[in-house]
Amino acid sequence: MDAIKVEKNRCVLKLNNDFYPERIIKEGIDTFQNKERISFSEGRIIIEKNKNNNPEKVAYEFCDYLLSLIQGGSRWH
Amino acid sequence: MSEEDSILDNIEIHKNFAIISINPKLYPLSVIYSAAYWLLDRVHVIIDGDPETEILVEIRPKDKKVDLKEIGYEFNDELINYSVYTVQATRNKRLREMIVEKALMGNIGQQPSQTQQYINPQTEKCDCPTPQGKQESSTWKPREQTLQDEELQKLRERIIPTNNSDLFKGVGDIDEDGIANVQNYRHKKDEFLND
Repeated sequence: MDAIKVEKNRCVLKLNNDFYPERIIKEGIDTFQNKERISFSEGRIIIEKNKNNNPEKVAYEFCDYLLSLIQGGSRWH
Repeated sequence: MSEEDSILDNIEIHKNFAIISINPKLYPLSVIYSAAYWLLDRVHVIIDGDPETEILVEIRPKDKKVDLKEIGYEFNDELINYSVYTVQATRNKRLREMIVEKALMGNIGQQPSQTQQYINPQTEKCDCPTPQGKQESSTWKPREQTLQDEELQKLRERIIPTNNSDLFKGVGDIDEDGIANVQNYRHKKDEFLND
């Protein structure tokens, strides 16, 4: 699995569209944009290195957040 | 895989992460999401693979103390747990809908109560028949009807209940002081006990 690639000053996240719909990804980016330098283009999510944050860690947290959005949207319990 | 440490059934354990493979024909995607979500407080989760043939779930511990093998087995347990829940929920779906329908119909579909029947919906005034005959909606309004002396007396009795001592007044062999003490006991329990 190579969903997350760490580069010099950024982290590139390529998530499988079958499991992470684009609508959910955009919703997640809207939330994360307040604190992180994050963008979405051509199916790739790019997280730029910030002063305080490790982009790899932010990427994993972003994936967790997407999962919680998927769960929150489809189930009520 | 060079860094692969061990393979336990459907769990590949690596140095810093584990990959769990799942057959989507056995477990639907909604169940996999639920099981993954259950572990989110301890591990990071990324779902990948092919939804038709094999789904891969990567788990990466948030804390070094987390045992990946244990988490992997727990994930398998949760898959079964949510599968059973889904099957039961599907089986009971119609029953649950019927219970909710019945509960809602209890409020929406029932006949208006006896009091509601007398309320004129146009004027919102009461057409309730009284001992004096049916009241005229146009002249009568709630709280404007005068009470007869007898009715006032009954109302006062409800507000101010009859004392025990008055109730037994004139009845022989009744210890009126004792009755009064019992009344006081309700309000002055401490003094009563000290005596």
